[in-house]
Amino acid sequence: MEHPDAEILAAVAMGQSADEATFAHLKQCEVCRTEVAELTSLAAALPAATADLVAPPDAVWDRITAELDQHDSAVPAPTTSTPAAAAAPAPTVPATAPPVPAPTAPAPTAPAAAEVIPLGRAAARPSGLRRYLPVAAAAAVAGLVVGGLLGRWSAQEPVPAATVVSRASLDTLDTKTVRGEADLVKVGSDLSLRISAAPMSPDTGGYLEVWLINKDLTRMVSIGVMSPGRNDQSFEIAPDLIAAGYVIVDISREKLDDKPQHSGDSLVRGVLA
Amino acid sequence: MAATGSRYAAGSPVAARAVGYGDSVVTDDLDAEVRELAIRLRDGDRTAFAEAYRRWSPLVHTLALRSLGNHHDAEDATQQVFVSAWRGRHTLDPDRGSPAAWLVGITRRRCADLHATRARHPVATSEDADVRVAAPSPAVDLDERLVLAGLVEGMGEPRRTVVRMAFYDDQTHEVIATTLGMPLGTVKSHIRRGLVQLRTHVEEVRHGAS
Repeated sequence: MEHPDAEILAAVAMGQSADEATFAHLKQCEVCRTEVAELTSLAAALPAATADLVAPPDAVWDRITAELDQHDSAVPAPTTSTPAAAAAPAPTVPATAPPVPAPTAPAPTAPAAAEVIPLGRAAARPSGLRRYLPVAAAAAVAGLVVGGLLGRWSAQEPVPAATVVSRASLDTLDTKTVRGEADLVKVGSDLSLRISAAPMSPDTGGYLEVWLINKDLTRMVSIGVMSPGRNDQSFEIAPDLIAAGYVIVDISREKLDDKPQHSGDSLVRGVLA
Repeated sequence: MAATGSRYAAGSPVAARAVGYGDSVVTDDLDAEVRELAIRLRDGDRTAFAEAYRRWSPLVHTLALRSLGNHHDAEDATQQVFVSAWRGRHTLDPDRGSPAAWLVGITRRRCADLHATRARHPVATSEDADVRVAAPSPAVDLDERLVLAGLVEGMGEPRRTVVRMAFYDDQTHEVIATTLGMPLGTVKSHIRRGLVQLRTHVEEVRHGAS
């Protein structure tokens, strides 16, 4: 007896109907019934599973790398196909390959993006900010300019007063064509990044991701996913992030490849000032 | 019945519709990706190590925080867990599952060690009393909600965002598809496969704890 694919059992567990053959199988097969029951229980538990995860402060990762670099001088080089990432522990990007225009002196023809990736450590940099992403996603859904600060949005919600703290012009990397701008908007003690740009298209089957790159050019964090075709979108960000120097806004084309790092394919970039 | 996706009622993520099972467009790539991450980590790839930290350090740190009761010790424990993980990376068996369960196992042992140290030096425990966040407990409590939240956090993108939107924000599949510019079938597949993946990983964590 061939069991249905786990994905089909998951669909049944979530109350989506299945074909008759699946139900006929479930009638006979206790193993699959148990599987469905467990998946059902998991699906029911998930919405409540927003436990208060506490990400460690960035300093913890710094201490880990420092400890490993100090004691394991013979740390094996990364074996991936991104050799530049081998420089992961290096505190700075090699001067020979400036990956992003410095905030004060943007290079007129910054090499595009592939070289941003070398922020091996940075791209993968642990950050408490990860937990803000769902909020950004929720805000994206709501299409809020500002507001919905707790990720709970409502179309009826009044838009609170906002002040623009700083602004970045979003320019293409090659021709420096202005495609829009990013405003750092403050509402109360909350900050959000409002992107207003000409619609940009992801690659077929891909999506657009918004990043903040540190002015030290060695670190970056993802702050959310742009919804295609939209030209005005806000992303919640932690005030600490700006204070820590993450002031370079970058929008990249990403593929559905489950590689959380920056793809290297930057569409636009700008420095908040 | 009509099977046009656009027809079902907004507001109900589980609106009845004959699901086209043939439209599974997400392969097991993401499941394979976790395995690949484990292999790279075991083989000494520092970028894989950083990625594992990014994915699972919130889970490790929160478990340690709840066990040890203060931020200082929890941060130390997190540091020690990941340093131990790197040095003991050869003990990671990619065939036994995702690195999450392995890291949780290291966390539990590390916290038990720290509690044992405290028992020998009881004075040290009062230092951080002002930032104590919970009653410390010698055994790491694998609270199901916390483990689930930590495992969702550790999912690869874009599945993580899709799963969060579906289960935490209660968005319909259509809204998720539109928002992320992703085909509907892909969204559904991520949700279903994500659920299956979570179940597997929860089992691994539980199994490692028993």
